Amino acid sequence: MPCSVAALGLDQRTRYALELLFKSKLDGRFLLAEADLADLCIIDLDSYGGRELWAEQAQAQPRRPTVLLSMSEVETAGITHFVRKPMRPQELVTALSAAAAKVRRDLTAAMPRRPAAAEGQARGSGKPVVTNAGAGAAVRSVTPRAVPPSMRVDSGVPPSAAPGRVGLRLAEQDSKTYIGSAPDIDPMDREQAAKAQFDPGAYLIGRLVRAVKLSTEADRPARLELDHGAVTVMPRAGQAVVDLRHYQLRALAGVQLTHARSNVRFVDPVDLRNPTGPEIWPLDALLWTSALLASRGRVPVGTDLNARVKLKRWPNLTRLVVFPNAVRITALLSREPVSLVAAAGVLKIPQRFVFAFFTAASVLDLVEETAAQEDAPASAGVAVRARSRDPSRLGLFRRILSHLRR
Amino acid sequence: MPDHKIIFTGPVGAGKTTAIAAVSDIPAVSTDARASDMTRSMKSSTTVAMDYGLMKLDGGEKVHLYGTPGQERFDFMWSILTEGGLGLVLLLDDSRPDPLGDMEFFLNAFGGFIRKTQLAVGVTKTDLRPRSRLGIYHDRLTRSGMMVPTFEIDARRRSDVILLLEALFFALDPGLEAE
Repeated sequence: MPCSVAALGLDQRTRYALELLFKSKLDGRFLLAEADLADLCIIDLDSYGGRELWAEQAQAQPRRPTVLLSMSEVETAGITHFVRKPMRPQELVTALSAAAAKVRRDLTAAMPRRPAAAEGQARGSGKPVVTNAGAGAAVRSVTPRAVPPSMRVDSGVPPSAAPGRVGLRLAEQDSKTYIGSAPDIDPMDREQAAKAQFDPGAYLIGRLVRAVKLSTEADRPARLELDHGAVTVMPRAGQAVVDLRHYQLRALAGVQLTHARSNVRFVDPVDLRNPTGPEIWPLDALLWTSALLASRGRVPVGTDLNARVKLKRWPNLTRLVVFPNAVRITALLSREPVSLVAAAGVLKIPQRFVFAFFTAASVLDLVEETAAQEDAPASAGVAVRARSRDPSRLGLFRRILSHLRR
Repeated sequence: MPDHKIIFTGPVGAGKTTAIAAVSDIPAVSTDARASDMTRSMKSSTTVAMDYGLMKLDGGEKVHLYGTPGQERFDFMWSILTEGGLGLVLLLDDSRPDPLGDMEFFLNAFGGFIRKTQLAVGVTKTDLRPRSRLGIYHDRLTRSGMMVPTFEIDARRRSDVILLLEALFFALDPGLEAE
């Protein structure tokens, strides 16, 4: 898997040069990424505000390897590397390779660990490994922390109290946690159809939906209290305060809570401006994520797989967990009513992707059903309409999409 | 070899220049000039000619990215710009006094082009409000008979702009990658 690199304080030309270097000298083992999602970062200290950028990054992600670029010497140690400008490609390659090796070691070390154990270790004190002798910059203590894979999956989901920064694009290999791996079913086979269904009421999503309903009716924030933490929902503000760690939330959302204690009570409005400890999620993002994790490629019990469904509107995909094929499914279901099984057939994707999408979109009240049609779900008619545009442009569109996803 | 183009439009300060730069393979060109009185309070300079970026596809094909001039007095260029375009990205600044009015204006201005191609709407600066107002944009679009991709975006985030463009193309044909 390529190592993602945030290039901070670098102008566009230098970013292009970096991309060229990644391709030509590093066999595509690195790719540029946004700051909050990258495995390591490169910072040009000579750029305007470069040293402040370094300080901010060191504070925000103290365990992330960093490569510093500057015309003047900077003392570094541990996970921070220095390359003098003007840069020689080989020196940058060496620094990047060393930083990437650290990322890989952390990942490997984290593999057998349980998230809770890793979290506990992360809190332990360690020797400072990064010092900055540069004028005006703070000296920071850094403890390299192994990042459990599970937390890496979640890294872009609820990163801060800023509701606008929630969107996460799942790679194919990460999507299994949300979509599962169930094989396609024959909807006419009752046994198979039953396996593709689940009872949302037995999961966290069911309890969240109930809390939202109660809160909406009473027009007061409602707090869902669970054994391991709590979630306060505020439908009027469109937000939720989640008093659970990422891995706890993910684990809870993915298992049946049949015997777990839970209680909903009304609370006073939470001050969203000063959250201490808990995280603020956009409510839609929390419901969408929780629904996907419970669904794992299934639909709520009672769903008629032959009923034709249509989206009422596009979900706000930039602020939700977007799994592979989600955009295509959205586009198809927003055009015309089609059964879930037929949609999978038209798009030539496993049914579990469509089922998971339907479950999450239903929770956000984005789906409307039409009556089942006994002999409707033949996908051919839908496919013809979907391809009714100028066929000579299809290849072009595919090439553009491929280019954008490089 | 034919060249193609995608059009970015929207009011002053909605993020057209930034969005084009986010996906362009060349340094995006912006012909900025000193702003008129109308826009000076929003940006010290604004785009009076057009923004330009380029995607270079494998095989040498080019997709030009054009941002329409931010000031309405340049709207004579819009019909020229859109000729042969693949689709329209409309960026709306949620912090402006009347973003729905802005949307109405651009839907009307580009109505013919939208009917022939496809529209995707990106709403920017949504973090300046306590909660999302995306629903009201959807409602207005629905009343105009349009169900189009409409996302909150941060034009500085390449991933947001890519997702908007992906949605634009899949909205044109959801079966694009069904091979």
